[in-house]
Amino acid sequence: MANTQGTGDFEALARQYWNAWGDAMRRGSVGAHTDATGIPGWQDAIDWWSQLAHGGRSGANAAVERFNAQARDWYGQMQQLAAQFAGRDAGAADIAAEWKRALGAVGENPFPEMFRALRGQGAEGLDRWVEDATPWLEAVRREGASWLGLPAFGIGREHQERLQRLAQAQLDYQQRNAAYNALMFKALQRAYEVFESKLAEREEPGRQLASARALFDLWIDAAEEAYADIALSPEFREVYGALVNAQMRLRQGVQREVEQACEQLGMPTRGEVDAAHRKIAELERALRRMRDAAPAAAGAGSAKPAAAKPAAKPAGKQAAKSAGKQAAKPASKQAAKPASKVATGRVAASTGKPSATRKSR
Amino acid sequence: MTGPLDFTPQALAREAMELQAKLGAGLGTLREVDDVDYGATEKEEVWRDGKVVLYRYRGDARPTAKVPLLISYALVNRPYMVDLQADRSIVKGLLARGEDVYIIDWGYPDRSDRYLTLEDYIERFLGGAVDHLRKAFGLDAINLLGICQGGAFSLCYAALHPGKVRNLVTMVTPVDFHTPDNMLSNWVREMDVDLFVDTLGNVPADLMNHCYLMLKPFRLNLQKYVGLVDILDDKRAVEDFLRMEKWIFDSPDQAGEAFRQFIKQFYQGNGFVNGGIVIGEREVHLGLVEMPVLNIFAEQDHLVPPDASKALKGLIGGDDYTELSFRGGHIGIYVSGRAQVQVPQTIHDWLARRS
Repeated sequence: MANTQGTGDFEALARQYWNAWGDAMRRGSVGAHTDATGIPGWQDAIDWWSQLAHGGRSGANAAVERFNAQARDWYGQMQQLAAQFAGRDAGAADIAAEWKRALGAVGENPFPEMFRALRGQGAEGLDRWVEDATPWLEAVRREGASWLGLPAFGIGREHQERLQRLAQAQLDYQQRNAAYNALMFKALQRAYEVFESKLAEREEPGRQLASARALFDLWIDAAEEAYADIALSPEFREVYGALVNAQMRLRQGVQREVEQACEQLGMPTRGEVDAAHRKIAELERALRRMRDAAPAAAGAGSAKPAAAKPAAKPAGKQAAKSAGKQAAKPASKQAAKPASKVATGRVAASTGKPSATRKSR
Repeated sequence: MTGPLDFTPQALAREAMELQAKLGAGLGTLREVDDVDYGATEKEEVWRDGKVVLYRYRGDARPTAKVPLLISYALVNRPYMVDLQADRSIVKGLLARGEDVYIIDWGYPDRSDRYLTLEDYIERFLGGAVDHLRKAFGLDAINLLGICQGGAFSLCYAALHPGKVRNLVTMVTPVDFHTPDNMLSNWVREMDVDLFVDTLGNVPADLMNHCYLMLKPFRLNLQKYVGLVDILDDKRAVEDFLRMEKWIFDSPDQAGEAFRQFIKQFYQGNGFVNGGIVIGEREVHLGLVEMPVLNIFAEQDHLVPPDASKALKGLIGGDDYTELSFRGGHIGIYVSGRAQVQVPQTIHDWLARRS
């Protein structure tokens, strides 16, 4: 439902915001504010705006939420930085150092913090699952920490070993996550350097930045460049792969516990449902293969489809061409035959068939 | 002033107030925007296999092309990107030029689809749609247009069934998955995809989306939304923005087994280049692709770098190979103004010369 508050409140707030600016300028103190979220009134104005803006179409609400989640804080920060240097002669190093200080005040390692916040309708990273599972995992960890390294024996031996593996997987994940965060910290440090160097390029007359927005865009360029260098590196490949793998092992451990509990309660498990789905998929595939092979067998006297070929040679163009020519004929012959009619009966209902004409947009 | 900044406190205050004015205008605009819909062109369902549906698109005039053009989109996003809205529709452009356009819609896989393999997608679904059109038109072969991952599927299909594909168009299609600028490839190379799929089953769309947003996290999550403020006083521009947002976040989950095979054979094994792509029981050799090929790639593509697409030239068996290097990105190639002029016309002209 639409928010029934009018825009009058927002306009009042905007006036307040303007007045705060005016006061700051009269005092000559633009730049003196150290509010981590931006220049005077920015945070209030945006909070208020978000409340009022929320209440439109769901797509619009989602966009407002995404704006709110990240963009407002980062842009507010950049406005603050711009305000500190407005009308002053400051060098690239001074501006970059102040930006570093401002981000440092927000958090030691803002990149992973920012990435964690990239979530909402239609996008969730790996860490969401860990956050959701943390209370349960913490309980397991507390329970297991004392006996993590102890040999398991007796009637609960397997149960204990399973929980030990789970606790170990949790520790492993935390280590991998720390390694990933360290790489992001490296990207951040590099981003500061790139930012300074891009600022230095803008010291030339005619290339100077004329707005807070231009300064913000320059930071985005710097951050992307630094991040891309890391994200394309072999080191990132290894660290990221290890992080994903560690989380999957942790999830598997939790899933094993859930399966165990379901079995004890006589409930169907995910493994059982998956097994049924697998059988259906395999049956449908076998049926389709038979259906495809039937006309070829009838027409050519041979049921063999265009031959499973030997493992690939390194695919230079010549090798590929020659492999192509050898196999092209049978494949073409088979292709030239009309497609078989779909099988009759129940199974045919789930396989390809012409549809009754239905118009839609 | 010296230094990189050239603004006064007054100028900065003016900028801030302009921003406030935009936000104020946005309060009205965001309430006025219509619920953004997509799909500019009338279409009808002509064939179906489970959740997979083949649609025929209807233009204002009857098609003049005698050979249907089947578009195979990627599994990871919805195909309506090629028919997003009336003034941003590759489909509309093709229809206006007389092409007879069909699109295969892969649907939204659920847990019961977890064991669908690449064989199912390529032989059963894509092959089923091709066979339906061949039969409906009384033709041995039809024209196939594959986009992104759908282009990789189309290459596989064309190599396995060269007699059924008369002309092949690939758009922003990855072929060499190991070019040094391929970030996605770098991320999955050390991933244990067996462990991944065994754990997750189907791969959640939200996770995939997050992954794509992380390719350019600052541009796609910060700068884009700050940029939204600039257009908040323009209802139509906001609707365009929201329509694009809807497409970006409206993604299907990925069938687990097909995902496993695609990552292993294409991203990790780089099978088009090194060999080793097996669909069902048959190995794919691009040397078997001897029909005419038009390969369209985007110069600023951050998902499928140009070099990843251009590798096709050296791998296919045929000599009738044409490239279109499009000045834009992976999304701009469908929705930019330049794309509306350049892409459908190039495809149409190229097909017309081979009809």
